Parts: sequence; C-alpha cells; structure tokens
Amino acid sequence: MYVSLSNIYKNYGDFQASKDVSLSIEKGSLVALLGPSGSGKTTILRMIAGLETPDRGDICINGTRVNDVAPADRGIGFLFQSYALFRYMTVFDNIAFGLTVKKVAKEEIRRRVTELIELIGLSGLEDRYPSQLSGGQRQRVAFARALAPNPEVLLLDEPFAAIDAKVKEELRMWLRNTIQQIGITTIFVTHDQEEALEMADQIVVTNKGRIEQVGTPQEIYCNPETPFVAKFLGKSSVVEGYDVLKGFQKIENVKEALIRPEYISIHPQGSLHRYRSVVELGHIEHILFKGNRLEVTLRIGELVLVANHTIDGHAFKVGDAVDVLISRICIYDETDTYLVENEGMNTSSLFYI
Amino acid sequence: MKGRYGSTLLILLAWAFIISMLLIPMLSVVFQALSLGWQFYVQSISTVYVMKSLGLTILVMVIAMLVSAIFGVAAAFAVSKFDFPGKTLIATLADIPFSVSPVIAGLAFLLTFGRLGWLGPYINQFNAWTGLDIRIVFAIPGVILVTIFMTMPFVFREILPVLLNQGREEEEAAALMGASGWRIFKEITFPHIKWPLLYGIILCGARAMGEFGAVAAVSKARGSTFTLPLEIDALYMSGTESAVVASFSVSSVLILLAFIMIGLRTYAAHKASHR
Repeated sequence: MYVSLSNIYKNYGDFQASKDVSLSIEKGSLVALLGPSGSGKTTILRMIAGLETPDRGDICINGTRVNDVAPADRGIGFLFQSYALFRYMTVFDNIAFGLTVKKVAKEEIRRRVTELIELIGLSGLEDRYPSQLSGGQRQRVAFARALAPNPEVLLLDEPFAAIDAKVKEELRMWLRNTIQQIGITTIFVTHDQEEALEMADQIVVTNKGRIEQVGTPQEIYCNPETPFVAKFLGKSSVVEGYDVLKGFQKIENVKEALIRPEYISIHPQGSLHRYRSVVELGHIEHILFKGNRLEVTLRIGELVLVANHTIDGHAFKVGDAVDVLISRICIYDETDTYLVENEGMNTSSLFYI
Repeated sequence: MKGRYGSTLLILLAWAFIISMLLIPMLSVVFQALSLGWQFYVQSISTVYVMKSLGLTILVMVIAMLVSAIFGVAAAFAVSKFDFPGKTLIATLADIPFSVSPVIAGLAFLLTFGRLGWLGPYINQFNAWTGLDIRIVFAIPGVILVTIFMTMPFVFREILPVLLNQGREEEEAAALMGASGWRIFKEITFPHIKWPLLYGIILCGARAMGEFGAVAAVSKARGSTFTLPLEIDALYMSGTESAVVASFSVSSVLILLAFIMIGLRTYAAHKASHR
C-alpha cells in the first residue's frame, strides 16, 4: 500500500479527532475522505501531511514510516481549503516557491512553472497577484503550486468549498481528468457526497473520529455497511415501523428503516397493474419543484416518505391518492444495516401479474 | 431632512471640539513662544540644557522604537502563528503599560533597580566586582527602561490583529514546501505587516518622545538625565517670566516633532490600508 495509516489516535484536549483509524491507499488512486464537519477527516489529511502529529499509531508513505519525518520531506503536495496563496507574490512566484526553496536551477524553475501554467490554462497571467484572480483561477494556481515540486502524494483539503456552484462542476471534471493524466496518488477531503461520488475511485466515510466504511462510490452508495453511511449518503426518508409496508422480510426487534427516493415510484391510483399485492396506498402531502425533478412528500398510513417524480410524468396535486411502489429498503439497528428487496417484485412472484 | 440637520450638528460639534481642545492650545503655545521675539526664541531653544535633553529624547525614542518593534514582531508572530501554553497571558500582560499610570511605572522601576530595590544589592555587587559604576535609576539607563516599558505594546497591538486576520495557512503552505522559519517570516509574513509595523513604530516614537510621568520618577538631574518634557517642566516651574516663555519655545519644538510624527503616521496608515 502506498499511503497507510495504522491504529491512529489523535485528541485535541477532550475532543477525540481520531479513534483507531486504519486506512490503506493504493498508488495512483483518487481517494475521498467524506464525512460531516467535525468527523475527523481533515485531521487525517493534516496528519498525513505532517501538519498534525498523531498521539498513537503509524503513518507510512511508500513503505517508510513518516511519523518523525518533517512535512517538507514527506514528498507531499498540499492544497489548502482557502488555497493559502502567497498574497504578496505573483502567480509565477507562487508556483515557483517550492522549487526556489529546494534551490532548483533558475532555468529549470522557469521551464517547470511555464509547463504548469500551461497545464492549468492560465498562460499570460503569470504576473498577476492572487487578488486579481477569480476563485476558480486561484484554485488552479494553488493546485499547480502543490504539484510544482513533483510530490508523490497530493492532499486536497475541501478543494471546492470556496467556489460557486456553476464553476465547481467544471473544475471537478477538470481536476479529476488532470489528476488521472498525471497519475498522482491523491487524497481529498470533502463533506459534499456528490463531489466524492463523482470524483473518487475510493471513498472513505468518517464519523466521530472513526472510519465507517471504505469502498468504491457504488459500494458506498448502494451497500452501506453502517446506519451512519446509509443515512449520510443520498437523501433518504427515515421510517419507524417499516413492518407495515408490504413485501419486506421482517427483522426481529428492529423497527427503523431508510428508504431512498429512487426506490420509490408513484403512480395514479389504480393505474398500476403489476405487483398489485405490494402496492401501498398513499396521499401526496407536498410537492417541491426542484428544476429537473419534483420532490414529492407522501404519507402512507403513519409513515412519511420523500419520493422523486419526473417533470414530464403524470401531473399530481397535493392531496391526490396514489399507488406507491417501494422496491428496496434499508433496515438498520444500532450497528448493522440490512438491505431488503421487495419480495413481491421478485421474478419468482410473476404469478401476481 | 432631519438626518441632514443632525449630521451638520455633529460635524460642527466635532470642529468646535478640535478647535477649542487642540488648535487653540497649540496655537497659544506657538504665540507665547514667539512673544519675546524671534531672537529670544532661537536663543531659548539652543541652550545647553535644551540641546542635551533633545539629544537624550531622540536617543530614548530610537531605542524605545527598536525594542517595541523587536518585541512586538516576535510576540505577535509567536502568538498568532503558534499554539503554546500561556499564549493568551502574553496578549493580556502586554496591555499592562497601557493601563498603568506612568508615575506608578516609574516608581516600580525605582523600587526594582534603586539602591533599596530588589535588584539594588546585585547591581552594587556587580559594580564592586567589575570596578564599574553602573547606575540604572537616576541615570540614562533608567530613563530608557521606563520609556521602553511605557511604549512596548504599541507595535504588538498594531500587528497582532493583522497577523490573526491573515491566518496561518500561507505560513503552513510555505513550511510544507520546506522553507525555513526565517525565509517564511521574511517572504510570507513580513509583507503583510510591513506598513502596520511602521505605523506602530511611529506611534511608539510619538509616545516615547512625550513621556513625562514615568521618566520624572527616575530622572532628577537637569542637563544630564532630563528629556524634553522634563526640561520644559523645569523651565516653567522656575517661575521667571522669560523662563516661562522659554518653556513655551521648547514646547513648540516638541510640537513640531509631534507634527512630523503625525505626518509619517498618516503616510503609514494610508499605505497600510491600501495594500
């Protein structure tokens, strides 16, 4: 493993920022540390960088234990949340700084910086100061500055936090492509699940100083291993007393379940002829226009669920009675999650059609 | 409309205050100083006493500015960029000279370095060993020390908010790239505090120049340990009519120096806000 953390503990006073964190990251992969604020994701990143020291545990980069290695000698590039560009230096000097410190020859610095400025598409802006750049341009400069000394590992702390929504989308694509093109091992911190799902090869979900789950975006989203991951990803409805829903296997003494909007479909009452045995009768309580879709709040008996509906589908109104089909739910107790399919919708149940 | 009358009134009040409290007293000093003619004026500001005290004032001022700058930059850099126990204590204690009366500060030094003070016997011993005759209070070192005490926080107070506001990330970024502490300070931190530092030094100088109470407590020898404010006081207290006029003449020198400082200060403040 290229970057590895084993049994890391870190406290800030009484606050436990890392509790027994172990993590392995493969060379060349793009990994997201995803979690709510205060979950310890930034602490992990800063410990890898050497900006914080773990109380216990080992950090290895490329097979070497780096706990006692100075940040500057760890071969990492770090992109700060606020970019931390040197405000009194030009774009060129910012990118060149790391090389100047390493006493690289002038000519070589010029060559490398010019190359990086071309890579980030800011040719012609070498002599600008950070205050004269847009948010997106600043991020690119910070990225180039982190890359300039040819680090082995690139660490990004909330790289898109300070960028507006529209530019963010473009930058994500650009950053992902550029990182893949260079092939550098990259770890980034984010609280934005969309960002993590879209960009990362591997996602590490953190919560309260622990790692909840590590996996590909698909694994994390579709097969959450812990209740926290199930709740944190996607916009799910939490229901208490899922056992009133038809077609789902019951788990003893467990009452709570999560239902993702994409597993709920709604149809005009009486229009659904398949799966009749597991269709629920619901009423529409609220409809929210989301631009590309409608977010529909439904009531089925005591349960309240949120479903998505297409804009060009049947036009429902608040108060309408509807047929609701739920294909999958995630039942959970304190420690475990159980993904349960609707049995009434299995092929073996074709008999019901 | 109501607002306009209100603001006019406030502006008039401000002017009335500045004219009655600042301009009239200043001008009266200048007029008094010149009341016995130009020749008397030149004569009274070029006596040996005045020259000596002017020299000492400038010496004290320069040293106080240097010390305040060094202490201020070091302390503000440490407090804003590092975490260590007692950090808030430093920031709080640094304000003491602003809240303690100058006379008390002077007396405190008298009680510390004086013959009967805590450090008095050690100074005597040191003098006996080395054969030197080092004196702190009632001598120039004492004058310098109390002035340093009174003016120490100026630079610290000016640059601390700037450094706190700037954050640590630029320094961390530079450290991650392997830059040395000195290089980080010189190339990353210093450009941020350059103008506020100058501003603080000037404020410190202006204050050092005019310090009276603290210096009066440790300085008793006219012509050797008197600074300009003490010389002015001595002239005024001597009571003869010409001496009083002379004291105004010397005061006008101090006022001139103050105006130079205000000019410099305005320039530094302007620069600080435009970067």
